[in-house]
Amino acid sequence: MVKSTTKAIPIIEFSSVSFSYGDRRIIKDVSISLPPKKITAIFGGSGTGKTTFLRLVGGQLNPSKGDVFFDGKSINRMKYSDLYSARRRMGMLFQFGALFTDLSVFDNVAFPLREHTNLPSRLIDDLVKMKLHAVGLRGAASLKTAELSGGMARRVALARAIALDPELIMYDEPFTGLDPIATSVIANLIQKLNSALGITSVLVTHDVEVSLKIVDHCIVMAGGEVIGQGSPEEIRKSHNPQIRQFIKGEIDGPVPLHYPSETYEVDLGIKHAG
Amino acid sequence: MRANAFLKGFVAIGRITVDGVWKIGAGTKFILNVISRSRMTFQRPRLLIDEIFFTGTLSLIIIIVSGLFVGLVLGLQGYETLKRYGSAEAVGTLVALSLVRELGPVVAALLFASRAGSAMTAKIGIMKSTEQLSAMQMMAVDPYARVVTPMFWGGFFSMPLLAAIFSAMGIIGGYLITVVVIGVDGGAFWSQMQANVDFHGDILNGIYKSIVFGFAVNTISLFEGFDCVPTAEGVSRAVTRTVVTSALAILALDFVLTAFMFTGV
Ligand SMILES: Nc1ncnc2c1ncn2[C@@H]1O[C@H](COP(=O)(O)OP(=O)(O)OP(=O)(O)O)[C@@H](O)[C@H]1O
Ligand SMILES: [Mg+2]
Repeated sequence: MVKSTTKAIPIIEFSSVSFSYGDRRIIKDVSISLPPKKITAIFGGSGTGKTTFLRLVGGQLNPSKGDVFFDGKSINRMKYSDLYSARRRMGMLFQFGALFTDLSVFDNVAFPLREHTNLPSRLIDDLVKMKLHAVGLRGAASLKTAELSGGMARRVALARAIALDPELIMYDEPFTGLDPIATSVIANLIQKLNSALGITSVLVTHDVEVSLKIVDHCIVMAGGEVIGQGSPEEIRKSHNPQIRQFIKGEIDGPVPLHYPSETYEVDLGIKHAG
Repeated sequence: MRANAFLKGFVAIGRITVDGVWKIGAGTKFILNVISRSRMTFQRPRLLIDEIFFTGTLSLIIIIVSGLFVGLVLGLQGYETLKRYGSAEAVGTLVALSLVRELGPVVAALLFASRAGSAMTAKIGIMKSTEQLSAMQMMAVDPYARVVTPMFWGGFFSMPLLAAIFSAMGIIGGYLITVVVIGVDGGAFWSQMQANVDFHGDILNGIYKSIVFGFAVNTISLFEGFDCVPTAEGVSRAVTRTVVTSALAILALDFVLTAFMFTGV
């Protein structure tokens, strides 16, 4: 019998991963896999551990339990040198850009090329201009990072993240702080990178509306756990009240807005902790 | 209650001791890590040159000006004292020995710590708190090898050079005030200095001192930067700690080194 669907090996797989900062458990026994060459969105409220999730993939944090697999190999059990070669295949857009403040826009984008290749400077020049053009900032090449707005900085960071043509790109909140035009530009770019170059993309965001239009697969997280996943239509039609609340942006619902604490009354001294 | 206060004091001493020991251990591990990643620094001289510029050249002005003033003061004070014993020409020797043995290495290191050391801490601390170091890691570039180690070696080579320049400027200052202004015999000033300053015993020992100080200041500055709490406040605290700890380390090391070098033990 021939299998009609060859099941692709997931490029990222979490196998019962837990992670804590001190005593606070941020990720609780999460097992998921992300399909290759697709765009996956990870939704979740502020502080649910989305950035932490990406850091686990990049091997910057190690799970306290379980394994994070990248292309079949456990990131958290790798030798140092293997981890670095794995990272060369990843690009990451940091939530706040994380541009090198002592370098110009051009040099920021050129940085990974200069560190990892021996290309002649003419070629680096062209590559950097192409990457900057892709994010609409070719004209800003000579600016210093201090002269950029937040949204521009994010786009430069994106150009830098794709400089080495990675196989996997992780976007941490790519749309926050962008105007509607820049949002569409970035959304289009994410789609283009994915379809033209077959780059696997992971999008971590709470910007549901824009993301649902471009992604292939969604994972919804709350309280460090995966509360649902599926295609954008499935998510839209979900009956799970937690997911509905998140998609619709309702304040009241099962997902708590507040950081864990004593009850409000106790904190204000009206009642005593029982 | 008194017993309670006593206990609190005890706990505080314990905590300071444990923190101190922890820091020494972590600092040692850190610096070994830094040095073990030296290959890139020496394969790419550009990185090293940039850091020598950053730590050395930018400290030049303060070193030159301070050296000159210290020399002027030494000349004045030395002349006033030596005159009473009728040996004013020995002022050249006094100025030169004070500078190459002690003041050159020590004061240059103190100035280096407050000018270049604090800048190194701030730079690393800011790169840490704005996730630039994380970003570098994610680009598969080792931030130790790319950023920290070149800074270490840059400072390492700058420090003895700065100390030498400081001493040279001091001697010029001493010459200006005693020979040019006061009118001590210039020939005697130089010849006495030449006769009494020993290359091995004085100049080399001074250079060794500044190498040790440079090592200490670099280690402290870079470790504080790397270890800081990644916020604006954390960085500013780390910079303060760098200056204070470096000053203490320089003075304490100077005592130890002097005891070994110049007492004929
Ligand atoms: N260095 C740290 N030390 C201790 N706790 C941390 C640290 N970094 C993050 N946390 C905690 O971990 C939780 C998850 O943080 P994370 O940055 O992953 O959230 P997030 O989902 O990315 O939020 P946002 O959407 O606001 O960026 C937060 O509640 C935060 O308080
Ligand atoms: Mg985040």
